[in-house]
Amino acid sequence: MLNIMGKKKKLREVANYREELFKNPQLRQLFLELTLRCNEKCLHCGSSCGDVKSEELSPEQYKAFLTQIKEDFGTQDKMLCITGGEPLLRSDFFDIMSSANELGFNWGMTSNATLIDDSVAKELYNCGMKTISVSIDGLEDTHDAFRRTPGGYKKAMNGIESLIKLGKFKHVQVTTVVTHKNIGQLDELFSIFNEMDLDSWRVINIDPIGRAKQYPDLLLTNEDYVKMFEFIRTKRMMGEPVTYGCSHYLGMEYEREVRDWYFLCTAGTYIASIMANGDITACLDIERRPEFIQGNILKDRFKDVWENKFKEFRRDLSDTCEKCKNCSEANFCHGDAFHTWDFDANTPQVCFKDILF
Amino acid sequence: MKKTKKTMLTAVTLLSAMNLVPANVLNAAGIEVEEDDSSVESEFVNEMSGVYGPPPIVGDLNYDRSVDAFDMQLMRKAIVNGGGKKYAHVYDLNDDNNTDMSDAVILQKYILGMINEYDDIITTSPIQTTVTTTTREILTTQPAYGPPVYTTGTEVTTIPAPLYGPPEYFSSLEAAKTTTEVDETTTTTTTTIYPSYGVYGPPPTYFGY
Repeated sequence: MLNIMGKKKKLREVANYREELFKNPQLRQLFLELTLRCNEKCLHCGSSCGDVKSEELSPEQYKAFLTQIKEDFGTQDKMLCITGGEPLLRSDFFDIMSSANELGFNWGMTSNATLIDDSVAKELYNCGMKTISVSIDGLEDTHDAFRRTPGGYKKAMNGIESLIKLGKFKHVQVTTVVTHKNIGQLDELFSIFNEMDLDSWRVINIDPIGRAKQYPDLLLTNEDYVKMFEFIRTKRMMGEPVTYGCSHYLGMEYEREVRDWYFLCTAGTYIASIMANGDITACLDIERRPEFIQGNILKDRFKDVWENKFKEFRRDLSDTCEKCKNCSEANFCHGDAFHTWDFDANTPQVCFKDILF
Repeated sequence: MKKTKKTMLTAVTLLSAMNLVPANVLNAAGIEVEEDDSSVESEFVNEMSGVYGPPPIVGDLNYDRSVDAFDMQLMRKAIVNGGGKKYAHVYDLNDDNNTDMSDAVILQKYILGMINEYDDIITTSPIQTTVTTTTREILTTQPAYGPPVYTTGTEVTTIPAPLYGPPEYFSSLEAAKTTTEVDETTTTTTTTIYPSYGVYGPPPTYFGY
């Protein structure tokens, strides 16, 4: 384990920085949920996407919105994070993203890659895509069962190969959601990914949000969590580009060791999201309650919303939780990630105290 | 998957913190490090941390959550490439809307612990420590685990660790590396260890610093 004194010093700096961010938020990542429609029906989907009807904005509406963002915030150091549903299901996808590219925005996408082949990969590059993260949630049978899509694994792997083969993207990443059912496949998955020219492999745990709440048997046990973090750390010790995601405070044992940064949930301070219907919120993984909708881009100017609302997200969750108040790590954890907070019970749904630390 | 200098540095720091394998053993073991362009790497690190990571720290030019010599390397490249306004949004530490040597000097002072804030010069003196070593040669083939094996000589006698400094192992490697030319000669080396390093302490010399 790395130097604890050094870690605490850095975490105190992060805590101070967080306070600054509450006062002076800086928009850096703007998530655009282009659709709720998806050609897969994943058991863990945070947005309960699938074969659903989805309100969607037109390319003209997106162009007007992004022009406004450019006027108010500029495009430098801003990243558009394109997500869904499966964004490529939209027939006007390339119209929307070409506009974003022409306006000067950098953009990346999360996708299941089932609709990507050599020609789509080329088109993605031509309209400015820089980065992409593709979901692979287990070996072939597990992946297809988990995403309830026969043949999904093969299509996704072919899509990834097309992206890699083009060789023009700055980062091609695979993301794996680890569940109690697939945790035993991590080593085999590593063997497969290690043969591919991927830039990184993001390994994250399933969270009790969205559709995953209906499948508690998929959630990780305490032993599973330790196994997953040990797996990531071990790979990183061998110089492999394996990383955990941005969620959750991990305590002194694993903070900074399984990812390149210290925990800081930036929902509402760096991150804003536009839902498929134009509603404005902080992070798309946060429970979709009416009180978290800060406005709508068809009615409100985003800058006004960003500067005058979002108060709900710019506060310390642990301040109102008895369990957190008595926790020695509260100054570093702040109630953990916003998207796993239980707003009814006012307590974190995911807390690694007594599991990892 | 692609190994880069960044992932290898992560490996070395984790392994060294656990007193397992020094970097030269990783190299000897044939773990290949992909030749990469740091400026390109910096761009995608920027973008990926934009998607998945936390906010940047001033002076943390490669967005690895620490301000260190690797950031200095990027700063130098930016200046060599013409500097100016092109890099100013990230590299301009003195807010003069330009990237030039004055920014590099500020960053260097910060990395060395001579200033705590970019506009705040402090008077803390570096800590002087004396390290006595017996010189020896390092075997080219190192064991897979454990400390490096030497042909002759004894271990480093005193290596006080700085407050936030690196594990002692790093220092002992540094001391050992400075004395590989002459065999069976006892020398005294004065090492300057500056305070206020981050988690990992000063960067290891085998990356060019």
